Amino acid sequence: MRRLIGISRAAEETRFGRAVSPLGGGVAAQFIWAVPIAALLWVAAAWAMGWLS
Amino acid sequence: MDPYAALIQPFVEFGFMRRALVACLALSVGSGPVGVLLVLRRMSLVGDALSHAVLPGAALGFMVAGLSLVVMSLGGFIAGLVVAILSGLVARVTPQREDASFAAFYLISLALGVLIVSTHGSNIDLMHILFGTILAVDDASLLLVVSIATLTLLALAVIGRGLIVECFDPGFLRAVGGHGAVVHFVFLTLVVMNLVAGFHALGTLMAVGLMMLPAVAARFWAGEVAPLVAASSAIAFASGYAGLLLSYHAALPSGPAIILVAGGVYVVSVVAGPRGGLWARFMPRRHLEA
Repeated sequence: MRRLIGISRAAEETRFGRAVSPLGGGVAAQFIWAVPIAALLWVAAAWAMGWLS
Repeated sequence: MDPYAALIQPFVEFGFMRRALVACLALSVGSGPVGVLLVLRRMSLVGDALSHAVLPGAALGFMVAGLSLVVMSLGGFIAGLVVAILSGLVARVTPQREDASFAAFYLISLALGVLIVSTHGSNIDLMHILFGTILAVDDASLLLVVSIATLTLLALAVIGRGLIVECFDPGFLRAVGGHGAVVHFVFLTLVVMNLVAGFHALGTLMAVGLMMLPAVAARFWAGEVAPLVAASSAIAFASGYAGLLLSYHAALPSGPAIILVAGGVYVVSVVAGPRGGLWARFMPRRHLEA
């Protein structure tokens, strides 16, 4: 996964590497904000299309 | 008029208003971060160029299958991607800068698109493609826009850090073995995808509006990437909500109303934004006294 985003572990351990990681963790941490927002978006879409009523 | 009737009732009462609101939400969530990254990468006008580049593909899709959502989207996506690749190629193999090649290709695309629609459709079709109709977003279009926003979120979760590093220090990214060209290409693909989503709601001429105006306005309120993204998405959604209400109550066209509200937020941000706004710059605060 690190190869995919193009940042090595060594780079991640530098100050800049940590600074660009919003939650300071690995790649999995990036999904902590992305997945719930996407899920909420789908709930909103279901509401708009009348699937919840 | 009571606040409920003014602010909430239109979305409870009418399905088309609900779908338009959620389309605005999806566009805000997807285009907000993409717009911020375009600004950080000094590519603000590239977004504009790519939004026009979508036109000939959408027009060809229209020519083949009429107002078909899938075919027009696919055509727009391919056309936008072709222009992005050709512009990048010209910039790499000739001395011309990428912004100049983007300008050239988008003008060719725009002319080609208008020519195709004009010769094979009516003025109404041309207006639909150029200006969109967010109030006419149906379930299929909404699903497409939400899917694109979801894909954008997940893709940014994977390549976000590489993108941010490349914005500020491309040398660092190269030094640590990052693939800047791959990251750049995936990012351009995301830009085109979000423009295709915006095109269904706001048309090719204004698709870039909800991407760039909130992003440039957010620059006056936040200084770090995560708050910038949050501010940009919030401004985009607030503009969509306010623009839809304005359009509903004042019987105005919805797309321009949304973009004008976002434009108003930008002007207010330029004047009153705490980070470099005119007020903060020319009305200095008093010095602290002992």
